[in-house]
Amino acid sequence: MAMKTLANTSLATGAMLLLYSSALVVQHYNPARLHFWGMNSVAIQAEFNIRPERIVIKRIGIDVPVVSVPSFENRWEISPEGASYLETSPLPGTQGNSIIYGHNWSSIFQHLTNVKPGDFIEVYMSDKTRRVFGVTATQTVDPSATEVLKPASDRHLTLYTCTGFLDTKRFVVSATLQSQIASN
Amino acid sequence: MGTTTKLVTTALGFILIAALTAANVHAIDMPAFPSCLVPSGQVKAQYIEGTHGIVGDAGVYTGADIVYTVNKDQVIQCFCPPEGQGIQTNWMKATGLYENEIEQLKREGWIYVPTGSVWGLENEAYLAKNTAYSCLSQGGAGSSAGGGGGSSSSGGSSSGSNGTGGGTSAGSNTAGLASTGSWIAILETAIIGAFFALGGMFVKKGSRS
Repeated sequence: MAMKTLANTSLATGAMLLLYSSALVVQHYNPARLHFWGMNSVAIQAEFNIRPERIVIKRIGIDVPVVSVPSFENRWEISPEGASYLETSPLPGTQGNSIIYGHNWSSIFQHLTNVKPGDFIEVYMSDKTRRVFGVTATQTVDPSATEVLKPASDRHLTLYTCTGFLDTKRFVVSATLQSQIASN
Repeated sequence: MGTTTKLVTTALGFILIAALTAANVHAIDMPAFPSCLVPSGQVKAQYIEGTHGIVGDAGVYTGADIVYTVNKDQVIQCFCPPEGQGIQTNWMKATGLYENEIEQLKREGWIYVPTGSVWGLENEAYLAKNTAYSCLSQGGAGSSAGGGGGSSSSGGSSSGSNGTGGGTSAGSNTAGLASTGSWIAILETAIIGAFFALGGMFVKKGSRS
């Protein structure tokens, strides 16, 4: 009897873990998992022909390309090649809230959750300038917390990735422009 | 393993996932609050340093504190201590809400404050809710490094509130389970699952013979 219980418990545990790992795989490729619910982008870019090309956060080892992505009918594109810059948000370093987001994959933003206030974020632009932002705050929020993406009056940069059980949360990094300098 | 056990196991798995991913459903039409990450509204009070009370928490906190008036019914407080463990407190007037609605919001973590005057707000009933965030205390980034406690900058007044909730919510804590971003973690979970399943089958087979 005890052996039967042990066998059934082991089988049930195994089935649960296999089911859970399957859900993780499905969620890994789920295109909607980075979205905020019901968020429309409203900002208009001021500078044309300039794009963010790379984002670097030295302290935590993030150095990834930035791909400009559009948003269609409330669905935001996500690049698997790097961080995604929402091109309808202000250009990083200009007035407003620029939005860059990315998968929590090891090749992109997996370590973003290690960012702390006081860290620096460098955004390399296509015009060969480097725009340096200081992290002012971080927060883990529900996908319904669209207020973190609202327009800002200062030169604001918001980064986010998904986190939590089955990516049901968003880890948001808030930063403001510190300096803009020509890069080498 | 019987068919019934398999079905129950599968159903439990789906229920677990559905329960953990389900969103809160509000019967009450809740107003939106700005975030202390991107604060907006008119600055009502600003303290670079000092002691402050946090609604629902009898403790006294030291740090920076900015209070923003969102509209006539809503206020947010952004408190940021030197250690960087900030607290955002959302305040909204409770006038106009029915008793059952207030009770429902209290169950969702809102704290009923009979009068806002002890917190520097209007002499009306308020509901307040704390959420945690990490912030940069002073020296940087001014407005974004907010922090809560605002209107109660003298600190001690926090005891005057009807604090039923606990200070900060553990907003920044998330389950420490395998992340979808890590293939290694996913693989480990699958291997452990397969190990248990095979082990179970082996034991079952052995117990039959």
